[in-house]
Order: sequence, then C-alpha cells, then structure tokens
Amino acid sequence: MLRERLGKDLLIFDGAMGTQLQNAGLKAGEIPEVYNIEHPDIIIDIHTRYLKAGADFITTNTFGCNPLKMADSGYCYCDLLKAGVQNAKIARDQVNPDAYIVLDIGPIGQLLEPLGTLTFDEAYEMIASQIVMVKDDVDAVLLETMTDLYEVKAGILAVKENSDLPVFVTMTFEQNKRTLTGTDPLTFVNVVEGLGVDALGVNCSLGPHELKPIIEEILEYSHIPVIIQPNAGLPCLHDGETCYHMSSDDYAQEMISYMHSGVSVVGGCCGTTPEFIAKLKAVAPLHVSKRDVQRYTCVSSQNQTVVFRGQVVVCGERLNPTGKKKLKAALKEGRYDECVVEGIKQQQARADVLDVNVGLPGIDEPETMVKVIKLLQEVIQLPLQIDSSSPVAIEKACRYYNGKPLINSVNGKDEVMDAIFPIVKKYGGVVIGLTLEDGIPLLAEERLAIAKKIIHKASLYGIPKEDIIIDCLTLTASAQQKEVQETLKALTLVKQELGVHTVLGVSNVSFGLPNRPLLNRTFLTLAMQAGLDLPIINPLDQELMGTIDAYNVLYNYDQDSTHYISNQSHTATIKPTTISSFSLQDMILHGLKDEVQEKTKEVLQTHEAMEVINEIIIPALNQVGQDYENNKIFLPQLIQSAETTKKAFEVVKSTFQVDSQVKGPVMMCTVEGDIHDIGKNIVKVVLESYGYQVIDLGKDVKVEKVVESYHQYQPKIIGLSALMTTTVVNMQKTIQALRQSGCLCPIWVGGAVLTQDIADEIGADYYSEDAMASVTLLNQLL
Amino acid sequence: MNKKAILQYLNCPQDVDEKTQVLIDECIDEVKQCAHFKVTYQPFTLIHHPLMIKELELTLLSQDLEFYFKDCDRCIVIACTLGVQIDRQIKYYEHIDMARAIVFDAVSSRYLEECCDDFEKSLNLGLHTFRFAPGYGDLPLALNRPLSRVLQIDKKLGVSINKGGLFVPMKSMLGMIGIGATGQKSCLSCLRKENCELRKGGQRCYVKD
Repeated sequence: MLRERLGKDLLIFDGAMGTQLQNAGLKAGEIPEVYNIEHPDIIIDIHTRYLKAGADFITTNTFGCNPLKMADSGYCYCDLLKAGVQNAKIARDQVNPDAYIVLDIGPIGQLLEPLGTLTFDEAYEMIASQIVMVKDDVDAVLLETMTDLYEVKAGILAVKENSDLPVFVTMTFEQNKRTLTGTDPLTFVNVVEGLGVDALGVNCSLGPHELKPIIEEILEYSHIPVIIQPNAGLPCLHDGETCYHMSSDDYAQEMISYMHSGVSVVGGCCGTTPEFIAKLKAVAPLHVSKRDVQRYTCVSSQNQTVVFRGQVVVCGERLNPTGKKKLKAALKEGRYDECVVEGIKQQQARADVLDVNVGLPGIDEPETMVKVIKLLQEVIQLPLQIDSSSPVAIEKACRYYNGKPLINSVNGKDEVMDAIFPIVKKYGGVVIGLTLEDGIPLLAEERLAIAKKIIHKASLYGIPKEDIIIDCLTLTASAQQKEVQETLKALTLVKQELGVHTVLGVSNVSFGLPNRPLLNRTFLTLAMQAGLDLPIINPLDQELMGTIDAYNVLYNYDQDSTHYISNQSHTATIKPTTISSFSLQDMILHGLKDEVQEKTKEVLQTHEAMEVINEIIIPALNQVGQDYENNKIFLPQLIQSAETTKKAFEVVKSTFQVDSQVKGPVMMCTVEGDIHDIGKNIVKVVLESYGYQVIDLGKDVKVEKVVESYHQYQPKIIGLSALMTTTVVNMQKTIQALRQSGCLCPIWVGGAVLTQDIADEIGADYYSEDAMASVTLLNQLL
Repeated sequence: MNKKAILQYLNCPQDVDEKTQVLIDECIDEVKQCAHFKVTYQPFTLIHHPLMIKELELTLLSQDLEFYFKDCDRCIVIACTLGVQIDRQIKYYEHIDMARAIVFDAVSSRYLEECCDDFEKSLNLGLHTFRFAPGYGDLPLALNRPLSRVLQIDKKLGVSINKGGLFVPMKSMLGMIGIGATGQKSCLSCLRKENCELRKGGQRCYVKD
C-alpha cells in the first residue's frame, strides 16, 4: 500500500515530461497532451526510461488535460486523459509492475474568483470529472505547479469527494517565497495539511539550491510527508528559450541534504531527465529521516497565517449585526460593500482575525455568509472567523473560504459537536469550544470539565487540541458580579491543565453599566494576565488596543517594544490647523473627505439639516459638476469631491429622516465575463454623491443574476458597464433577458468601447459617456 | 516614472492641483512596492503575403501589422504582468478611496509599460518597430489566446485569459515587436500620425531608443 510506505520509505518520482517531449520533437505551440494519442510510443518511451532510471512513480502526461486547455487541441480532453493513463500503464507493465501511476493535474489555466471569473464550483467540477474518468487506473493524484491556493482547495475536495486515492499537492514559489497569487509556505502547509492530503511540497520555478528557504519552512511546519521536485537549476531566458544549466551530478548532490532532513518524496521538474533520476536514486537513503515538528494553533487566509505563540491575537467583532442597526439594514438590503468597508476599518485598526456573523431573521444565512466572505477575501488579508449557530451556514462557509478558518463554535453538547466536528475535520479549521452545555456553569472547575469533554470528543474525530480554542465565557458584571472572577479562574485552569489557547468576548462584561470602555479595558487586562489569548473586541477602540500593546511589551512578547513604538508614538499627531478654517462648501470643493464629517457636525449645530443640504451641499456639488464640465477640475478631483459629499450627507442623514432626498433605487453592474469595474464604480460614487441610492451587483454578474435582482429590487433604472468588445456581447444578452422577463424600466450603458451606435445596436435605451453624463441623464429621467 | 504620461492617462493637465500631484507621487511609490513584474518572450520568424509567424503557422490578419512589419523578417512576442497584488490593491482602494483607486490604476498601467520598455531595451533588438498588442488597431484580440499558449504565460507569469477574453491579473500585456525595420521608431512611421491626440499635444506614446 502506497499510504503505508509514505513517510517511511524514501520514494522517487520521475522528472520532467515537457523537456523530454521537446527533445523528441515537440514544437513551440504544440499541445503536449496530443502526443498521448498521436505519438503514444514517444510517451511510453519516456515513462519507460524514467522507470528504468529507478523512479517509483511515473506521472501521466496529462498536466493540462482539462476542457479549457484542450479546447484547441482537436481532441476531447477525456480521450487525451484516458490515453495518457493508458500509456503509463503500458510502460509500467513492461518495466516495473510495482511502480505507481500518478494522475498529473496542473493548473486549470484560469484565475479563480474573486480576481478571475472561474468559480470555485466550476474548478471543482472540472477536476472531479477528470478523477471520475480514470480513478480506477491510477494509484495517486498529483496536483502540481499550483500557484493559487483556492484552486488547490477545489482540487483536493474534488479528489477526496470522488475517490479514495492518495493526493499529493505541490505549489510553485517565487524567489520572494510566495506563489504568484501571494501564498507563503507556512500558509500553504497550514491550509493543505488541514484539508487532509497525503503529501505536500514544492515543485518547479527554481532549482534545489534556490528552493532551500522554502523547503526548510515547509519541513519546519508540515506534520505530513513532504515532496520536492525542483527544476534543474535556476531557469535562464536565452533568446526567448528557457534553459537549465545544472548537471545531474550537481542536482543529486544538492538534493542529498534534503533527503537527510526529512523529505519523503523526491523527483525532478523542468530540465531534469532520466539521468537526473538515476543519480537521485543512487544517492537516496532507503528510509525517510525523522523530523520533530512542533504543533501550533494557526489560522490562515490565502496569504497570511496567524500563529498563536503566546502573544495576544485580536479578533475584530464588528462584522456582526447583533445590536448594529446600520449593518442589519445593509445585510438585508444586499449592500455587502458596507461589510467590506467595516472589515477594512478593522484591518486598518490592527485586528489579527475578523469575526463574520450574518445571522439575521429573514435572510438566507448560508448564501449571505458565502457572499460576504468572498467579498472580504478579495481585499482583506486577515484570516476570518466563521461565526454562526447554523451547521449548514458553517459548512458552506468553510467550503468556500480560502484558507484555514476559525470556526465559532461548538459547545459541550454532544449533538452540537457531532454536527460541527466533521466539518472542522473535513475542511481543516480551528474551532472555538464554548464551556457550556444546557447553561453556563457557575464554577470555573465545571467549565474546565466541559473543556476537557470537548477536547476529548474532538480527538475522536481526529482533531488535535491545537485546533481547539476554549471560550471560558464572559459573564455580565451587572448581573453576575461574583462569577466574573470564575471566568478569570477558568482561563488559568484551562490554560495550565489542558494546554490549549483561550478566547473571550470581552465586552459582555460591561453590559448595563456606565463607562463601559473602562470596565472592558480593565477586564481585558485581568483576562490577559489570567491566560487569555484571543480577545474578541472592537479594534476601533484604540484604548483597548493600546492596552494590548502595553501588555505585549510588559510580558516581553513584543521584543524591543517594536510594535508598541510604531503603534503608540503617533497617537498625539495634531492635524494641520489650516484645514479647520475651511468652510463646509470649501471642503466639498477641495475634496477633504477625512475632515468633512467633523465640519458637518459643527455646521449642524447652527443650521437646520435641510438648510445644510439645500444651501451648502447641493450648491457645492453643482459647482463641482460645472468645474468638471468646464475642465477646471478633473476626474480624481471630481471623485474626491463626490466622496466628500457622500460623507457629509451621511452625517446629515444620521440626524433626521431625509427619505425625500433619496433618489432611485438605481441598479448597476459590470456584465458577465468582465472584471474591469472601476468605471462602473466611478459612476456609482458620483451618483451616490447626488443622493441616488445605488444597488451595486458587482462585476462579472451572470445574466440570470441581473434578471433575478431586477425583480427583487425593482429599480427605477438599470446601468450596465463593459470594457471590451468581447464582453459587450454579454451586455446585449443581459438586455435581452431583462426584456424577456418583462422588465420595462430604462437601461443605460457605458464603458470604454461603447458608443451611442453600439448602445442602439444592442437595445439599450440610453448611453452615457462618463460619470457626469450619467448624473445628467438620471436627473432628467428620474 | 513619467508623470506627464500618467497625467495624460488621467486626462488631467500637466499643471493639475498640488493635491492630485501628491496623490500621484504616493501612488507611484506604492505601485512600485506592490508590483511583482514578470516577463517572458520568444523570437519568431515572419513570412509575408500573407503575414505569418512561420514557426506557429499563424496568419496575422491585420493590415496595420502588415504596414508596420513590412520590412521585418523576425518578430518578438513579449508578455508581462505586474501580478495580482496590484489588482487587489486597486479593488481595496475602490472600497475606501475611489480617487486613489483611479490614480493607482493609471499609475499601474503606466508602470507596466515602463517596465516592459526597460526590458525591451535590455534585449538589444537592433532596429525594431513599436510594440503592438492584440486589440489595438485591426490586430484581433483573439490572437492573445494562441500567443499566450505558446509563451505559457499561465505557468511562467501566472496570467490567464478569462471567458471574456481579458487578461487576469488586469495589469498584464502581450505585444509583438517587429525586428529588422529599416526606420527607427518614429511618429512619422505611424499609421495614426495625422490624427494622434498625443502628437498634437507634442508628446509621444513610445520611448525613444
């Protein structure tokens, strides 16, 4: 059995296929996989030579065998895939029947959402179809040369949900120790190991020497077998051709130290040949060297991992609608952009992890959770905490999350643990365990007992205690004053006796009492002293954050006070006084959006709200519009003024109901296939500054989604944007589908390639050239 | 970086207000920090009537290109990118500071051109034409697919072409340069010399060799 040998016997993979094919006559632009059918003898010969060189594994010539990459090959990808496996079988049967055939799957060749347009489900389906087709004829699957962690996740799930085959995953790192989409080695290990692969490692891009820091980091953190397949040295571009200069002897020499440091599987990538594999075989020890790898609690996004090493880790609590009217309304009305802005603010305020809770009556929690997570992950680097009481929402969120999530939560009840632990195990999360069953026990010892129960039960599901963080539960001082100390005592007990990390929602302590920040701050200090690792707090409360900075200095976690100095030395910065002398109107004209809110509040003390709108904001905005039309100001200035106006409006609106001032709603999107939405976003900002309510469906919006949203939101007008001629086609399809569904509201279009003629041709009602033209158009129409 | 060109991209005059100038300077610094420039290229032989890349047996159906490449016997296909972090950062600013997003976008576009110009210079190509990208003039956008496959830009640069035919990451480019042109790069050898806005304003769209 391959799984039994992995991690014990040192196993040898084959080397490059592409290099061999080029030597056999593959020309530039030819598709290598076509050789599976047109020149099977060449493929069989390459496999044969690798087997004779001593390879335990041969990799099928199926790197790009997916429907997208094979579209121009003249063959169905299925036939190329099956032929690839068949060729490997023939070679194996002839040379070494004990050798393993590995199904090779390279990157799909399209970047996944949110930066690309390929969805996670599409990637999953594509890889699943490959697995189902040949799973009975291969011994393992290799997902290799991967650069996108999200694609890796889709691939692993596709293999594991459709077969029992061992999965090996190798990613490709640049010299800056990151993949092309920004994943670092620790994050890769943390996420992929959590997803339950059989071996992980690195291939391609660099030679064995240059890969050293990356391989060392992988060996430091990986608890599972490590596979390495470097290139034959650093690639050189000579006359447009990629060349590799390393000799097979030098290659084998460089690889020896890795084989004695605990690497389990070795092989070669670009530039390597059967000779390289024979030399590797000659120097390879028979067995894998033992590694002693420490276990840490780690949560990851796609390109950042937070390791719990004793320092206090801050979880931002603000993405939770409980008690937040504005966020509730935003979630209900589908204005997810506001969630993203809330996330960004917390990231800027130095949160380490962000809690995401979208639980509201009347909304589809699983679907909303996935939407918000995807939007957050487009711009926010921090790992997320998936917070829900619904196992369905948790499962869906874990599936579509890109990284290793923190999951909030389980408690001591068996039925809850039985529902959540399988999800934690399958998707590789870190889970919070609440020390309660039917109620919260009053005594610390009782909470410790529940924590023990949770940790034990998790171990039965194969979840190590490093993947559990225990919540000792904060009680409210105004109601249960005596028990506040029990929480602190429980923290110490759990930490000392169970050796796990701890979490608390800090602000619960102060409900019902005045000056809540003071109590929160004091309780946080006591809790950190008692062993709290993960306070869930409002990071925008800078005094609370300052308390943590101070604690990290005093406990020597912040060596040389580096973070403290950088965070705390700017607190007394004084803003330039000149700005305060600007009038509100001037602030709008000059686009001073950071200062406008204070100024608006000041003006509201002496003026009625309607007066501020009609006599200051609107005239200022009109002036901005005129200046733009007359080329006195330009796009960046127009936008700054628009954003400033929006902020001033927000302040005025918070003082009274100005429903009569809200115009619209206007629904906008960038059409299917198009990811360039900066133009649409410019128009949105300017429209909002003129008081229009804009429902923004985002970019790459499927035709059906636009139709569905039209019926849901009943907008007064629909705006569609597209950048390229290739996506204008989808604009036309969207307009047709809207009309067929009975939509009578006007549709206006814009975008770089659009003209009035094209707009007429595709059936749009109106065309506008830029943001200001859109305002003029909408002012006339609505 | 050439700030004049950035202002041109933004459709702003050269004497735009100081606040915008500062914004541009800040974005230049940040783009340089954020960008991960990667490039690859491959030389090919050209044959004429009709214009073809010989090794790929690929016909280049473009009158514009036939005009520009008329004296060329070889060409270079070059592809490059600034990487995904630039896209992420533009998106980030779109959420919190749209004006900065616009400037950041323009600066990135310019930076990609300048990085590619520098790389092009380092190749010492001798006499050569401007760089032409599919999608400009009558050079079909669809050429991006076969040329990208040959250059393996997904593997080498991490760049893919999405369903809509657009490069992802967005700040990526593929262009063709004719080698062996008898004249230097010059506005006078450009098809659009009579109606070029840049030329009217006394500027060029290319870097002098």
